[in-house]
Amino acid sequence: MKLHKQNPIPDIPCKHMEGLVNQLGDGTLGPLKRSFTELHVKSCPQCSLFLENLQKLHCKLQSSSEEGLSEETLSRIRAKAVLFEDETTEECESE
Amino acid sequence: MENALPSLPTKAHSKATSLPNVATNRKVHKTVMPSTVQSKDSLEKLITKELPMLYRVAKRLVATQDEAEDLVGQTLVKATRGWENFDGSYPKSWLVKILKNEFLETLRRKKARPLLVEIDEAHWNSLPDGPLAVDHLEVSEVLAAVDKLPEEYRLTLVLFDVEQLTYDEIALATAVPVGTVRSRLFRARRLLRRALPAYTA
Repeated sequence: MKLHKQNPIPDIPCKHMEGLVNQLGDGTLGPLKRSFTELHVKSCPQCSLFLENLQKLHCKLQSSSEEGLSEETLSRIRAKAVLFEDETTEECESE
Repeated sequence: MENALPSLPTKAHSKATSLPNVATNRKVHKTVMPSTVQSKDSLEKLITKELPMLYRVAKRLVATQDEAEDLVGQTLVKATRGWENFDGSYPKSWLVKILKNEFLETLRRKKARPLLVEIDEAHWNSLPDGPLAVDHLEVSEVLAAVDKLPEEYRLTLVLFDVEQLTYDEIALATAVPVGTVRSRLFRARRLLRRALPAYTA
């Protein structure tokens, strides 16, 4: 029995499975849906590649969170916070 | 060296910002329950810890570094004012919600409108030009594609994939149900896939 329609692009998932595969990658599926989705992914090369790409993209995006905050930027933010506080305090007092 | 804390204004203010209790009826797994913070001293600790996260999120919402710094500065002021009314749960969500509200307030002041979530059906259902080769992509290319997404999708994607917030935390931060977070992530990824360069070799 053919369970999935072949797509010309190798990493485009089966339409009816796209949401479930997304959630499988996020780790948010309950046990039943997870088993069902994992079983499908194992037997479907396109959903399998889709999941693999999803996880790689997630890793790339996550790596951008390693960017720290320089002392210079921190100092500017601090100065701006004080400035905004002063401005709004003056506005409140003048009302 | 640990980053120095911005010298925050300490005066309590009547216009406090607090989170609505969106998650009251939702099941929250113990593993995703964030730690709570209660004391005044913890505000400084919280901000010191989360300032880089706030700045990264702000950079995805606005066009320039200067605007991102302004946005975070305004967020710190509002967070300080709202601290007394904050119940201490979901601190990341609380800060992101303030940031998002400040972003929308800035747009309102400029009389600008956020990019509406109107997706062309043809584009939504269209196929990419070719397979995606994620290994060939630089992080900067992926972030540039993220910046092309409508604001609500962009924020949800960044909070989940970059900042590692849970669905529950994002729901609180963006004041939408968990199901909406799920569908926004789904749509954001589909649009992102189409915004990324295809592998044509």
